[in-house]
Parts: sequence; structure tokens; C-alpha cells
Amino acid sequence: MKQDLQQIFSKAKKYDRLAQKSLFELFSGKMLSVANSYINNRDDAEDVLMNAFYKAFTKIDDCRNYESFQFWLRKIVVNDAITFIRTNKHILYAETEFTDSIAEQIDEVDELSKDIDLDVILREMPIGYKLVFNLSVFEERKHQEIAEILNITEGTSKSQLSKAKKWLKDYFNQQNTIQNAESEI
Amino acid sequence: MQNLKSKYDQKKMRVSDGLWDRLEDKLDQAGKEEKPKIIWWKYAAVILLMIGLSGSFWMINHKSDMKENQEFVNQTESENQNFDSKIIERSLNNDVEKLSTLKNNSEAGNQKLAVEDLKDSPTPLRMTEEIKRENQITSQVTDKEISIKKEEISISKSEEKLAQNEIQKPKERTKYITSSDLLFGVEMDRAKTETPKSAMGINISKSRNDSDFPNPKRIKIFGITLYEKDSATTK
Repeated sequence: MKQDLQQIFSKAKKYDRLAQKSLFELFSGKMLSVANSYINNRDDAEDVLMNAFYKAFTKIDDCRNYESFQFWLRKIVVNDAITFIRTNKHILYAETEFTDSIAEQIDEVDELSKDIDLDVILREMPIGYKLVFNLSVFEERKHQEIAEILNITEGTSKSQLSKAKKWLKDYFNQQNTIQNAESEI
Repeated sequence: MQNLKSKYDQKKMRVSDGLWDRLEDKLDQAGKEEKPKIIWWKYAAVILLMIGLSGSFWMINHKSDMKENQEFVNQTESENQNFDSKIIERSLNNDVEKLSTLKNNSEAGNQKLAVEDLKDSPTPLRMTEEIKRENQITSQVTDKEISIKKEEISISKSEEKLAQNEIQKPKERTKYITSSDLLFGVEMDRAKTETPKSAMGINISKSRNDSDFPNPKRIKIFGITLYEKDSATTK
């Protein structure tokens, strides 16, 4: 598998169309789900994905080796998705300070994460929270990096993440109460 | 959170069928757009090269023309010089020939004299040999004189060349002091001696008594004397 990927990558570096197609078939499914997790619209996500692949194939010389291609492509997809949201959806972040009371809420959400349906989170979570949540939890970015990407302060990034977790907690508590009520009936 | 992340990493979506075709078209278009750019640059480079080459050729030709002109000028100058030198040589040769004829004549005369002497006088052959030696010495002296004359002529030739090359500058006239300037100086000196100076060197103005204001002895108006100097009375 690795050898195949290496050969495909080396051919794609020479702008071989078949190699490019095979790279697209390998990573397009995963990258589309990543783009959709931010944009929450399939058609827009596909547009972003296509542009990301176009960038990747035209600037493939910037990618050092085949092992890092997947992560490099994912970075492009995430950045393009964020720029798409920033240009099409106006998001305003309220500058808030991160306090210890908010930090307590994070630990409580970790216990709930086993029962969380991912599609529901990505569909229902407010876009402001979702950007910081995705970057922090799924992309494993630090608050400093998130602040630089979204052009916000580090405190705002922290507070947005805690609020996202609180929203998750509240959402699942609400879902549980609805389920309990339904079961009682 | 790790549970959520693993779920997120495992998640995949099926891409629509036409997406690759769209991407392929975009890549093809990009390839086509890049090619004309390269061709345009090639044409531009060729035009620039042509302009540069033509410019350099023109410069080279211009320089060669200039060189040819200079060479022509030099050739004409050299030809003129050669012509002058030939004329001088001819004149020199004529002079030399004249001198040689004179010398021969003199030698012939000397020989004749010697023969006559031999015939007339009872002098021995040694004397005739001595006369020959003397004649040889005189001929050597005359040759030396001719060579010196040639050198003198050659020096004069070079001097003439130098004179031709030198730019005739207009001679600056020497400035002499004119008589009027001298007289003005004398008058200035007189004025200095006449005007008294104070210790500080500032000219002192004349007093009113010394001035040219009229100082009459007597003033009369309608026969009545108003002022007399001796009496100093006024009526």
C-alpha cells in the first residue's frame, strides 16, 4: 500500500493525470467529510474539495514526501473550508475571558462523548462554536493556532470551546429528557 | 473526546460522480492557460534579443566606419607626408648630385694639377700620393658635411611637422600701464598729501573760516554802510 502510494505520489509530481485521479479516489471521501463538517452543505463542500485538490495538484512540489501528503491535503481542505465560511457567513465572536468556572464544564462533557452522535453535533451546533470545536478536537490545534486562523484572541478561542462543550452537554441533557418522556408515555 | 475524534477520523462521504471530471477540466484549462504565457514570453525574449543584436551590430558598424574614416585620414596624412618627403629627398639628391659633380670636378682638377705637377715639377711619386691622401681626406670631409646637411634637413622636416600639428593660439597682448593711469596715480598722491589726516587716519573737514565763503570788509546798501570790519559797528 505504502509503495503504491509512493509511486502514485511520484507520478503525480510529474503531473501524471492517472496518478492524480488515483490520489483523488484515495482521499476524496475522507476530505469531503472534513469539508462538510465545517460547511454543513454537501454541494459547497464538494466545491471546496475540488478547489483544494486543484491547489494540491498544481502546488504538489511544496509537499515533501508521500507520507505527509494526506495531512498536507487535509490542511488545505480545512483552510479552504474556513475561508469559505468567513466569506459567505459573517461570524462575530464576542470577546470573552476564559474563567475557571467554564473550565469545569469541559470535564463533564468528556463523560458524555461516548453516547454523542457525530452527525447531530456537526448539523446542530452553531457555526461559531463548531469552528473552534472542530479545530481544537478533530484537528488538534492549540488555542494560539486557532486564534491565528480565525483572527481572534486566545481567550476567545478558549471560551468558545468551553461554550461549545456546554452546548453539547445541554443538548444531550435535553435529548435525554425527551427520550425519557417518550419512554414514560 | 478521543472517542469523538476516532469517530470523526473513520467517517467518509461518497463523492459525486462528476466531481473528478470537473477537476480534470479545471486542470486542463490551467495547463492551456500556462502554455500561451510561456509562448508569449518566448516571443518577447526573441524580440528583445533581435533588438539587442541589431543595436550591437549597428554600434559595431558605426565604430568600423569611424575607424575606416580615421584610417583614411591617416592614410591621406601619411601620403602627404610621403609626398613631401619625396620632394625633399629629390631636392636632397639633386644637391648631393651637384655636390658629387663638384667634387668630381675638383678631384679631376686636382688630378690634372697633380699630373701637370708630375709633368712639370720634378717632385717624386710620394708627393702625388700625399696629394691623393689629402684629396681623400677632403672628400671624406665633404661627405661628412653632406651627411650633416641631410641631418639638418631631416630635423627641419620634423620641426615643420611639429609646427603643423601645433594649434596656432592667438598671442596674448602684454598689458602696459597707460599714461592716463599714471597721471591718475599722480593726482591721487597729490590729493593724499593735500588733505590733512587726523591721528586716526580720518580726513578732517575744513573749518568755515578757511572756506571760500566771502568775507567782505564793508557792506553798503543804498549808500548806507551797514557793516565795517575795522569799526565792527552796525548802523
